[in-house]
Amino acid sequence: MNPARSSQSRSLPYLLTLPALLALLGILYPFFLGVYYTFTNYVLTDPAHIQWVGLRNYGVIFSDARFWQAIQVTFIFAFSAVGIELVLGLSVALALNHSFPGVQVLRSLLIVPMMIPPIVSALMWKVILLPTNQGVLNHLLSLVGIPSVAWLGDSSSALVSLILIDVWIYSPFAILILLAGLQALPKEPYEAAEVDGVSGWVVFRRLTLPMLTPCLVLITLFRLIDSLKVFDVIYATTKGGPAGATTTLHIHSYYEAIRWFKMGHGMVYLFVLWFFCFVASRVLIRLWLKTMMR
Amino acid sequence: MKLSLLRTLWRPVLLTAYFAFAIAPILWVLAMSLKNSADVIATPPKFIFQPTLENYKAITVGLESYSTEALRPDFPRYFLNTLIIATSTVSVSLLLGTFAAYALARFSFRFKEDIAFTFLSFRFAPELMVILPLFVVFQKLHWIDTFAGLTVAYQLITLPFLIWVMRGFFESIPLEIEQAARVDGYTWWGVFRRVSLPLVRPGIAAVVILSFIAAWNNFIFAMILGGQETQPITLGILGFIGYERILWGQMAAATIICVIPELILAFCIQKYIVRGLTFGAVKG
Repeated sequence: MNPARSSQSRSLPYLLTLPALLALLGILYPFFLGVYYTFTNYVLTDPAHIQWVGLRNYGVIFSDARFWQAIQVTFIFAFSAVGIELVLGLSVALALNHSFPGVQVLRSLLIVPMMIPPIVSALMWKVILLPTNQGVLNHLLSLVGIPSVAWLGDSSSALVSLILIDVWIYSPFAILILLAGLQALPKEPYEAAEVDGVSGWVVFRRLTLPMLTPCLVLITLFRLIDSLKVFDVIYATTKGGPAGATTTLHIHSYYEAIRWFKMGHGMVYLFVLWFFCFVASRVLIRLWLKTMMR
Repeated sequence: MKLSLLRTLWRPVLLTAYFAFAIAPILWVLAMSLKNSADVIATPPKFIFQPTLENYKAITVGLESYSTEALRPDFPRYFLNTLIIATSTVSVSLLLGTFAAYALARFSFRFKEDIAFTFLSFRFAPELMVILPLFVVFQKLHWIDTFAGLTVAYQLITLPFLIWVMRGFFESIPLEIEQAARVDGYTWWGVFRRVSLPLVRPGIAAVVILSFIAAWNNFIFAMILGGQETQPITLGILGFIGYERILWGQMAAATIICVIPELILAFCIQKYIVRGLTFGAVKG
């Protein structure tokens, strides 16, 4: 190989990634601009007078009760949704991991809720969950004698309703990944367990569950972070209400920055949310790599 | 006795309950889209009604009573806007991402994993963290409410995804095949174009479709960075239930029209969906 060619092949990978790298810089620039805004008094309607205010925004927000409530709502929503999706996903995947007539049709149907835009799914559920007899769910419940619930309209049930919608949209994600995981499991340990007469529950606890750990971690990674930064579903239904019962960090940042023009405050909310997402993704990616090695 | 009954019945009971939960809302919206304006707001909701295509007509060609220019339905334009945004976004991503994915898969170079992970990290960042400052930048550049601006911004949705999944596809090509082609005198470009690219073609199709769906489904980017001229379906559908009007029937019809192309595309690439949704982590 002549020297000219080798120098060309050394710079080649950089040349190939360069356009994508420029795009990356295009993303990194607004990100750091956003971090800078957290230290300024930037008001959206008055861009000419941006002043450095140090940590003042952080001080104001960390002593605001709404901030701590938003953190609470964000975490309750994310952990409940992910917990339910993992348990439901695992049970349905186990039930679907058998051949019976129609199983292929059921597996195909799983794709449907995931492909609908989340904002549209949320609107669909908003109609179904309408308060009183107007909503079809309340109507059906009244037929079996259950009094109607205001669902999204009441601060005690709004967050639960949103978790229900999230579970509807994203359980198929968990089911499909776990089904793929179940189908990739080796046969031999199961045959050995059968020979030894080990009960079904023990086989599940000792064999299936440990072997599915990488799948479960992966689902947690994607679903936990996506539910921490949920926006569409809440915006389409409750817009954070009633009385802040469903105002997550992401939703609140929108109000601060866009509705109330306080870019600096909005960016603090986002930076805090970004930090949670970043830490969660680092921890879970590392955990996933570790479970894969085993 | 009781235990064995439980053991045989849990499967059908669970599956019936789950799939009723998963499918019923879609059937309900389908039914709503076929109701006339009185039936759709009936209390209690009607299960038996005379189906009509009134809503579909109203949002596509318009009803007779709306025949003046100003009241022509906006929905066809939203549909077209979505199509333009999704197509241009995916084309640009494909152009930028394919080469980057190939380089990350086949060459070793400094900072390689750092670059790859920086791409990935934006998949896990809250969208507004980037979009709000981008809004300020776009305002200065006069890129708000333009297809070009949205295409640039939407790269955040599709580019990291495309690079990570495609990298996996390129890595799954046995090295020997490429080396054999090199020995036969092909340059890297020849190998890439004549050997590697044809081998990953089905994978590329799947990635293109999944990126297209992701762009099609997006809401938050268009809400902040878009406007009247570029309004996509996802925002348009929200407009059916504004302050001055609540058109559940038309909203339902718009939902059905919005979702059908996506479902057709998704069923075509079923095999790749798990791999796509996990950024290539599960080979499915």
